[in-house]
Amino acid sequence: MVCFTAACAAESALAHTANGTATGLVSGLRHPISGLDHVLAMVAVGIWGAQLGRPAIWILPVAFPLVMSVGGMLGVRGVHLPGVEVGVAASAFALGLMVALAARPPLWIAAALVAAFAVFHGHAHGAELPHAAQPLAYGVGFVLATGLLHATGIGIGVLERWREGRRALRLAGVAIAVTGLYLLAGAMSSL
Amino acid sequence: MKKRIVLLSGIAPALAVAHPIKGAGDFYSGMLHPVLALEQVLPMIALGLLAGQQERRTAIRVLWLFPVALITGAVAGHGPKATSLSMAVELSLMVIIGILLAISRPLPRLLVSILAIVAGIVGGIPIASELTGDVEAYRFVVGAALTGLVVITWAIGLVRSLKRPWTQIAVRVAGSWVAAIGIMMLGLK
Repeated sequence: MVCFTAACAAESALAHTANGTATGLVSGLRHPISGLDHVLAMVAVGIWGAQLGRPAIWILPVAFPLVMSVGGMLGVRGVHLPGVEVGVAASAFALGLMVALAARPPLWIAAALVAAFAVFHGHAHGAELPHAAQPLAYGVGFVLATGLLHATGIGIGVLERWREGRRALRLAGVAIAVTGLYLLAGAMSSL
Repeated sequence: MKKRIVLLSGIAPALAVAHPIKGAGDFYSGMLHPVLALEQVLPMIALGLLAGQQERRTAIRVLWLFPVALITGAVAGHGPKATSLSMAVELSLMVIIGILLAISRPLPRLLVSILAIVAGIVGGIPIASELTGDVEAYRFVVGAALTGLVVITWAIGLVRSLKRPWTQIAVRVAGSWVAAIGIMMLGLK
């Protein structure tokens, strides 16, 4: 037990000597996975991309961080964006619904929908950036976590190859949409 | 035995950090300098990946242009104004190179060369501020340039070794991540 504590203590000392880079990175990695709404929406982006196939499967995960960074920039600058939490929860509902319906709109509409929600996610993350121990490390962490959540969704989307898998994906979409609706109601009531 | 292993694993990270700070010598400290700061290593990797996406002659040109530009920046770039400016240019480069990576198209050799020169010079300016007191400047700068060469070579080799389509897509996604980080950090500046 003592040795284990010593090992943990050394790690925190390391984070300190690295001028907060490790702390910033870990905080950034944690931020997107600390909120269920963020996690559901990001995974839904990946699954929807997999349902839509090429080129959406890679265009959506490329477009999302780019537009998210614009929202992040607004958050960093302290620009007020009304209803950020509502927007994030609505994204889980809407993207879950797209997966549940296995919707196949034109690529530009899919990209625009994902991009519109990305602004809210970016703002929520970006608002934390100026307070981070090491802002750049925090930024790297949260962009990385967001990308890995997309990759998780794309990985789950492999089920699209099989008939039963496609049904399972749509059911997962229903679950995401229902949870998103619940979170949306919570966000609306706190306004 | 198990307890010893756990204890050693706890001490090891501290030693790993302490090593480059003291007793490593100017050459090795110089080698470590570019990879200890995210704002320096990210544009370097991104530039290497971009060069890897281009034709062979363009990639080779970046391979020698970047270290030479880094040495130039380290020798010429003194003063707090230069350091502050280099940070802003470095972040802008992250955005430009990241977007070009995400687009993944053949680029004019001149454009890639200019990016390599600018990235090298702004990457060298923070090194100049380290060259104080009894630091042997030429050892430190050569060490940093060697790291630049190694990182760029590794990134070019990585991209050129990727054969499956999804791996090429992964590089494009990584480019969008680099650009996103750059845009947000520019907001903070």
